[in-house]
Amino acid sequence: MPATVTESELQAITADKVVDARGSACPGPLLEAKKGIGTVSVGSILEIWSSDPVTKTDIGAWSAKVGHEFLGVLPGEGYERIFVRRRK
Amino acid sequence: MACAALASDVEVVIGFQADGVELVRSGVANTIEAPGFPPFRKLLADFQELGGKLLVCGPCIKSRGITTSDLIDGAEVVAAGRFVAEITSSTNSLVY
Repeated sequence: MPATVTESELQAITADKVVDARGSACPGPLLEAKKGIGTVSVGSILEIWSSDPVTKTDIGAWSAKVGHEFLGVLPGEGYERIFVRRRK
Repeated sequence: MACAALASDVEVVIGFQADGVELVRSGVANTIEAPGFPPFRKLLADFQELGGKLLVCGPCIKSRGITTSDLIDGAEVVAAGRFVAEITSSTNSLVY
């Protein structure tokens, strides 16, 4: 699932909520995203931190399946920052 | 897979038969950890929290000396007819 915003646009985003799933293996980060998205309002942005490199594709596929917007990924130090906008 | 499916708004039922019934015996989940995966107890807790159903074969537990009270909360003891109904009414069935 392709990202919908550019990296420079992602850099400017301040997420409404950050979920730290670093150290968690599949399906842990996805489950944390599922829990986290339910705590923000529609239109808000959830940022998931994951040290598992497959999480970004997992979250992208999940977003498409359930109807959220996969915004993209930024590199962190030893982890990735994955951005999703709640759409429903 | 089951937890990921639930997180994706897919209804999931897990059926335990034969030696698989040991997995939902109280305390057993605490003893299972596979490298690279979350602990089984965590996956099982997440599965139930997300609304997944656990069905357990009645004859299978009886033949192993397991009683209903030995099973974790939420595990439902059923027989073959229920398994058949669940499988034939589902969109997809996976067997491990």
